[in-house]
Amino acid sequence: MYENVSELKRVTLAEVLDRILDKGVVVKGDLVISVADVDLIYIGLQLVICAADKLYESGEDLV
Amino acid sequence: MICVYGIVNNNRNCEFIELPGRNAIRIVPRGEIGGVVSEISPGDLEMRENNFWKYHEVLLKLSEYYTVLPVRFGTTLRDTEAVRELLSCNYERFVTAINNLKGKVEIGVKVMRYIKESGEEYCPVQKSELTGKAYIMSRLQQKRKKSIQQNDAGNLGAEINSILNRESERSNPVIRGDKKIILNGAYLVNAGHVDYFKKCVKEIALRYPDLKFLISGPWPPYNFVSIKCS
Repeated sequence: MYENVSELKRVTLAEVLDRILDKGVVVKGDLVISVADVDLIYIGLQLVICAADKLYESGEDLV
Repeated sequence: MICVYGIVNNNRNCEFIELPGRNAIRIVPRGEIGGVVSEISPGDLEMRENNFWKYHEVLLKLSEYYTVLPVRFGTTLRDTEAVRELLSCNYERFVTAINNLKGKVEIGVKVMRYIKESGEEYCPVQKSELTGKAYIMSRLQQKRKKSIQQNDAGNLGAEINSILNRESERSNPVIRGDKKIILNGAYLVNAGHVDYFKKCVKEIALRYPDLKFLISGPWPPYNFVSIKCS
């Protein structure tokens, strides 16, 4: 009946990333992530990771 | 250092949530609310798919029992005292946000248009086929056509969002006529109305057979928490 509707039974990683990296409460200065076993500590940053196109859309400069 | 997952409407001391493969998750209380935290093991905050899923899993589990304000992935604080300080400094904001979101969940709706392989929507002119004025006129015509299509798509996105907005408590839409996804919306609905809302989406989809609809959720209300604090 609803041929053009899909209900995602299992959410995709993209959907999850869009939310856990880009939304929610942001605590300034206390974000730690690590890439390839190297801890990266960011102090005083609100935005660390988001899709490049979102950054461009938001009008913010790439640092 | 400890990892902070979210802020919840809970003030019970040391409530533990057990999830396989995670350090014990507990609630640090402050007044009517609490911060959900766990110790960090090496690699927990590495940018790996597995960690993203685990983080998401914790928030999903929390949202089964509490109203949750999700905290961005990778947020860490020095110790329990720092969590209490965060809660104290932003207490009113957190309590207000939690009260506004009590009993509500987020549903994601994406609406996509089909870009036809035949190139009906976009058909570049081969420069070699035309020359001079004819080529420029052809490009202008294409540009105009594309602009109209984008405008129409944007209007469609706005129209669908307007209907879904009426069926939800709040919405957070991104409408882009120039993209394949013309509407990427998050809708806040009462937890008891999730099935009803999804049915509404499906009914709307029947009116737009040329568009593809994708529904996701229920999610914790990620898109309806916009709190920046120090």
